[in-house]
Amino acid sequence: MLRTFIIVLIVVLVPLGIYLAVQYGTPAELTFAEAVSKAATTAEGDMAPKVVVIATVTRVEPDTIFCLDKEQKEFPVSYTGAIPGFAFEPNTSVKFVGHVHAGTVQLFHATQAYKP
Amino acid sequence: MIGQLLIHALFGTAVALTLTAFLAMRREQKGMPLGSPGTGLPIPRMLMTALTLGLIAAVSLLVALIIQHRFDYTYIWNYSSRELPLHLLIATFYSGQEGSFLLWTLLVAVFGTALMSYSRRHLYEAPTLFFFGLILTFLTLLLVAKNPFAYYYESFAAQGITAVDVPPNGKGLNPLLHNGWITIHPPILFTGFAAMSVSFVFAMAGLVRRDYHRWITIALPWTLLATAVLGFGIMLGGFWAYETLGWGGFWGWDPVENSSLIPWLVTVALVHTMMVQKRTHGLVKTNMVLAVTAFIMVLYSTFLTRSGILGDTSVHSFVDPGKFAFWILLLFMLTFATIGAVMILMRRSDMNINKENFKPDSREFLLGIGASLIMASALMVTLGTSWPVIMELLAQPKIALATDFYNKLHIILVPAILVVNALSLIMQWRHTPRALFIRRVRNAALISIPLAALLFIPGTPTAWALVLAAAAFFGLVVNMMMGWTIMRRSPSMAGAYVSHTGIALLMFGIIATASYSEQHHVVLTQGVPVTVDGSTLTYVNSEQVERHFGDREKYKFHIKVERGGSEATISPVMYWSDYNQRQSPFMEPGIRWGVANDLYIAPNSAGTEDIFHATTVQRSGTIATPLDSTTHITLVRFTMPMEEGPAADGRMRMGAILMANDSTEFKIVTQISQAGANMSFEPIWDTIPGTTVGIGLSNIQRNNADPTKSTGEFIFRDVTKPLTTPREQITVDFSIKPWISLVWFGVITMVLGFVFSIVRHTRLAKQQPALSEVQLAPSADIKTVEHKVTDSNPQ
Repeated sequence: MLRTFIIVLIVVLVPLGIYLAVQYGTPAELTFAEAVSKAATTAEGDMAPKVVVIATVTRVEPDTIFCLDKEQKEFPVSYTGAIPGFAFEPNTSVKFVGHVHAGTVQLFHATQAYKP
Repeated sequence: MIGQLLIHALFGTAVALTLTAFLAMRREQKGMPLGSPGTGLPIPRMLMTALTLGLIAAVSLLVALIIQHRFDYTYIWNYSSRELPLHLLIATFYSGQEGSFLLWTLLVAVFGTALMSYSRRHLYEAPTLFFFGLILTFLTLLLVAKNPFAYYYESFAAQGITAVDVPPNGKGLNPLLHNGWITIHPPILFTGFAAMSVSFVFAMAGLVRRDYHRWITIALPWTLLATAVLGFGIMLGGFWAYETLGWGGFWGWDPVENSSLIPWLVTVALVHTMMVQKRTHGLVKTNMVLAVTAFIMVLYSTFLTRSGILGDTSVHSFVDPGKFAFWILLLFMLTFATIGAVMILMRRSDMNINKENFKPDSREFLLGIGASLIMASALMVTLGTSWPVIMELLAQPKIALATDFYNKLHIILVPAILVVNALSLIMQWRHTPRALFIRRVRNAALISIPLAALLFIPGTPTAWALVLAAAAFFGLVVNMMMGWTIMRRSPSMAGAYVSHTGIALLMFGIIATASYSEQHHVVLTQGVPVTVDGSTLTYVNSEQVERHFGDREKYKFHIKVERGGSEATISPVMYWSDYNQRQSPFMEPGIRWGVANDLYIAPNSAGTEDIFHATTVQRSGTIATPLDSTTHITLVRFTMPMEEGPAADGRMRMGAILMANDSTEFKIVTQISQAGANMSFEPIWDTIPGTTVGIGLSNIQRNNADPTKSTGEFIFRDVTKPLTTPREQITVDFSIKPWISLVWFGVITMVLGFVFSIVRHTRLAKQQPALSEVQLAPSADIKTVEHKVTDSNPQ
């Protein structure tokens, strides 16, 4: 009977755990303007929640990558993550994960980059 | 050089210890009397002692070098500085990754050495030394990879640094760690981690000896010790976060917190299933699996938090240890997981002999259910903590799970655990008469349900809080009822009841703070009372403290809090440190401690009230002035110090050329004082031509790469009115934490209960017969003499 209980527990809990993890572990996909407003609602000194911005690279400068978000608004990205398996080149579509720092210049600080 | 050689020698000693202990174990398996000198055991004994002494020497050497400010060592340069007081200098030794590995290794070796005579008495010495040797081999290999004695010039040789380049000062310890807790919390936590290896080693020894029951009695006091110490260490971490770091709470489900909690939960489950085996000889394989899992979870948690794999998904910072250390950590974990799994599988048929089928109306059944629920909690916390790693493997964006993930799952699990725990105490071993069960449950429910309903008086809590409260009251009542009966017979048997009472109190603390605590964001202007949540807060003044330290500028902000006729001054702290080039402030909350509630003030920012409408303008930008929207100014350019010349007092001067509405250009000037990287601006007021709008230049942010992106901050006032001085202002989060004292009191009570149990089970372990006196496997259902010892403990 104890074994049955453990099996039932696993069968119920593991899918529930994965479902909740997907719910609470997937970053919201936003535009840059939405990421800025998300940072603005964060208390000073606190880290704004990480979000995803899917963007198209327009130009690449030494410290900054300029991109267009899905509203075709240009915004600067400072990327400090690991070297991705692709190059940041103009017209490349990139999924950036990061946040805008509250109380500073409006710049998207990305720590992860993926091909969408 | 001595330090580096010592680390390599320690690794060699650990390898030799493992090999010689293995040979001794083999000789025993070939028929030599267990523990006899002929097995060669004196050699690994000597090596174990030598390894421990060597580790003590390594730690002493590192501490001595830290105190001498030897910044020619990379580790010391990285974590220490001349400004640190002695107690923090000593704590520096385990503040970084290399040092913490050294502390962990030392503590494992100390446990290994301390257990030599104990394991000899129980004829477990050879396998115990072998498995401790193997653990220490990996730990010392980690020290070789992350050597705390590496020289600065070796670490930065690629940058052209040579042996003569010795930094004059170290980078210093993170200011958040500058308090007494760092001298207490990490050593206790690492003692808990090191103690976790003991139950694993004894379980492996039991498997080697085919001694599937006796190891339980031998390992139980040490498993209880590991649970108590790690639990206390986790609580201290929570207290530190609450009291000093200003995170507003004591638990945030952060990966570092979770990495301690997971092995603790597994060990709590193990303690309960060990009790079942001790009493019924059931759950033999379960205990082996849990003993292995508890240790593997220590290694897995270490891997998660020390391999850099979690990246920036935590409020704690993780240092990437490098590829070599990453692979050692991974290999360490996989090796012991494999050893544990292979050993259990090899002995599987032996352990299967005595199959127990617990009756649902027995205590052992409910203890099994309780342990399963605790393991379910451990599994879910592991899933949550590992989620960023899983996402990375799936090439998906990785972020830490929101705390709601953990909270939602534990809303279900925690009440279930509390109720099952209470019911298990109501039950008797083997079988419980139905009438007795109903009577005990009814009595406990009649008291606990009305008590839970009392929570409606201070306000309406959420449904989950009520369910949790009812479960906690039920647990508390049952534990107190049963505990009182047991205590009158023999106080030494009260350990479990005291511990469970502590858990119930802890739950009340959590329910009270989560349900009745509200946080208020308050802006306090000096001398102006603000009433919030029934309290009146008045910011009195700020006071600079620790002036004798040149590396920081630290202020206490005294806030008077009046509430219910009483008055208290609470002083949160903010400071700027050279550690982060004074870029952002470090903060400490102010707390008025109380039994019924804490008044908690966490600072956010400090400055002066904005009576001058500060506005930032980029070069070439145009704005309407805040005082008169018809008046516009355009920032044409900045003037440089050489153009302006110095002020009369020698201060640097800069200016801004502005254009007014009528295209008239005019200049305003500011005087700049510089202290380190910090610049403070004193604007010289001027008037915008043709208006009554006064203007000053209060800040300049130069962009040297692209001067067109430089910005200026301008302040404005009405020149027809007298100039007033802005008052100081502080922004804080104010909250009242009701009954948070129960959280601390509950954990201390729980640990106290463990102490009772440790004393009792140590005494029982002493009564344990030697291995030669008991019949060994393959019959796993042997009845040891220990079982015959009259044990009326109903645990």
